[in-house]
Amino acid sequence: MTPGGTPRRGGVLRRAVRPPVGSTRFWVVQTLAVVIGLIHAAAAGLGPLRPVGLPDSATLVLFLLPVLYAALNFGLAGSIATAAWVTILALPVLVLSDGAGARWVDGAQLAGLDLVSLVVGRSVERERAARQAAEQAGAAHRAAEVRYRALFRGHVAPTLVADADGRVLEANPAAVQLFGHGAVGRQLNDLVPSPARGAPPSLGVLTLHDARGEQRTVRPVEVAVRAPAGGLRLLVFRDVTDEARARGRMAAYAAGVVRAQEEERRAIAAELQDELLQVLVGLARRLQALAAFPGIPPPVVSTLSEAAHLAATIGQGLGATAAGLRPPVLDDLGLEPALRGLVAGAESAAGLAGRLQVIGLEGRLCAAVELTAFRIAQEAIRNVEQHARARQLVVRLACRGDHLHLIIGDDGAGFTLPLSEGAPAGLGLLGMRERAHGLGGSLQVRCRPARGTVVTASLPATPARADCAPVRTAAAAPTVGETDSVGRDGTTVR
Amino acid sequence: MSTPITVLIAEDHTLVREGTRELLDREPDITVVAEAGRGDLAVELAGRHHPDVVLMDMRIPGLNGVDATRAIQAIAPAVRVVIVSAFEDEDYVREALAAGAAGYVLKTAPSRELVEGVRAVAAGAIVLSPQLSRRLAQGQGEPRRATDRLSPRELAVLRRIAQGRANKEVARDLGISLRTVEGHLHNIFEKLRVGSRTEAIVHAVGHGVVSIEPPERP
Ligand SMILES: Nc1ncnc2c1ncn2[C@@H]1O[C@H](COP(=O)(O)OP(=O)(O)O)[C@@H](O)[C@H]1O
Ligand SMILES: [Mg+2]
Repeated sequence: MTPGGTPRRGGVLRRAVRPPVGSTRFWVVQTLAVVIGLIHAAAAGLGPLRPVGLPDSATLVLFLLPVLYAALNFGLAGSIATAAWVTILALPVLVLSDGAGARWVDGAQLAGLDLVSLVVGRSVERERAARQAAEQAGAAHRAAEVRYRALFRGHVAPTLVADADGRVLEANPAAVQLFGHGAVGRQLNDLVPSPARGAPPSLGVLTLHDARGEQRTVRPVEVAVRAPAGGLRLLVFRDVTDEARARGRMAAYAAGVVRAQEEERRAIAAELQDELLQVLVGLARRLQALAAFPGIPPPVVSTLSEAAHLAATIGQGLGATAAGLRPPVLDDLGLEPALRGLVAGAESAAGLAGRLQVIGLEGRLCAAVELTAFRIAQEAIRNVEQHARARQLVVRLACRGDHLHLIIGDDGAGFTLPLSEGAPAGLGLLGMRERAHGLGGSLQVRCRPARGTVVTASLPATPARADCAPVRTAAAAPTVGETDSVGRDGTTVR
Repeated sequence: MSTPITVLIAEDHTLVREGTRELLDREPDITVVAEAGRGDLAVELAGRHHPDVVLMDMRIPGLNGVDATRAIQAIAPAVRVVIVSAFEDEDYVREALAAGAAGYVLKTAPSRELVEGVRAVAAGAIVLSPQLSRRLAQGQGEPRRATDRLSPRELAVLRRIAQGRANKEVARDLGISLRTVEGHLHNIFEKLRVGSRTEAIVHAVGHGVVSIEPPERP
């Protein structure tokens, strides 16, 4: 092992005074330098080798061997130490040699030798450092790749990598679970049916059946990756199944509450309309009949008439309350007459100039649609009465294709939309929206302060079918009447 | 006294039916000849008794009031049907008149109104509770147009016809000849595109042109 394998620290000097004393080869080199020193001395006539007759400059060149060897093997630390050692070995010859000219030449040679040791040692060290840096970078790169691959493979979000043309190149295990093993090589568009072409893919939510057949709701987010060869498309799927389920549960709960409320209203309205009101009417008629009985004193007659009138008036109030809870005209005659009633009510209650336009509506619609549209209109009109300070109210009902558009507009004060700001809206607006969504429709409130408000609801225009037919008059009447009246009342002929 | 007005009461609520009967029985010129608790039964009885007037509950089991009215008009056109209803919506009134009803009286109206209504329809008039005729008269813009074309004179004639006056009475009232009245009627039929007196009245009432209230008791 070369000592160069460990990173070098410190400056040139510090390293120079720390020769690789632990290496055997270093000491072999130093010994070689001693041998060459002896040869050199001999060549210079200072010892037993004098008769060989070698020129001492030639033997001086031999010193290059250990110096270069140390430089190449140990870098600067080895080369400087060796050069210093060689210099020490050569110095006696230099000092003792005769002739000033030769001494200068030898001195210069020795200096050159030291210089060479420095230069070569340094460049060797540099080259070695560069190679080491390159090796480290490569290792770091490999480590990073391992990490990212682990991340890609271990990531819970299904992820697809595709080329610029949309062909899937790679799928992580989560994606394989979602799309199956055949995903790689297929087109993104086949795997991910884009709901709206051209729309940013992050906007859509997809419902897929994963490889195990379970339904999953995911939200794909596409990341464009710039890569040298044409770019990559990275598609990450956020699993929103739980969110979607929670939202679904909330919607179902809201729909259930609305249904229960409607059912309750219908029951109360029926009770008022079909029982209490009738009793009061019967009472009023009886009292009036009593008043017409011969021989009743006039003050009693007027009291009876008043009582009859009172009973009828209470009955009228009950009828109005029942109609407010659940207008019979909606079930009996449909949306248009019911809306007409609402507009007429707003006209007389709030002094508005109302207008109802109905376009393209033929026949009855599914009871749920009619009820939803009616309730939305009712709430919107109530808002116009309560908040808008408007002079005009326009209600438009347009049936286009399989969509029903309901528009309620006013020319009143308008308001800043609480819904868009996240502030708690009133239950009215929320309820309208919830009802529209409950049918798979949508609701929009457009509003310009001081220019009025327009509420638009779009609902599916499902026509009345057997399973959602409107409830027509007789069905709402109590069933007792059907069985009882024939037998008990039958006919009474005078 | 002339023969009393015969009445059939179609009403499923016993209390209301009995109260109505007691009320009408107090009137010397009115006789209740039959009662029915179901719409289909009312049709059957109307065919059997041919009463002058049927008081028809709007919501009645078996056959609802409007359908029963239509059925009665089919088998006994001379029978005058008055719908008695708790609902004030003008669309019910229109529907009832279109089915051939001669009147629409609110259930909660004062009892006198019901009694006078029976007399008025028996005399040939069309009867609406006052608040309903007011509402119809306010109308809702658009459908009124056909009758906008009537001249004031024609409107005056139509109003009196709707109150059950004979042509001769109308002529005397307005101080014009019987022939002129007939001429006006002809024009009215043309303009409203209807074929009969009753149709013209129903059209006019249904579109809020004329409002009819039970005439004062003579
Ligand atoms: N047509 C409108 N004109 C003016 N302001 C309105 C209108 N509709 C709604 N608003 C405003 O929006 C708010 C929320 O309405 P809503 O959700 O129906 O609750 P509520 O009517 O119970 O206050 C109202 O308080 C009102 O300030
Ligand atoms: Mg509100």
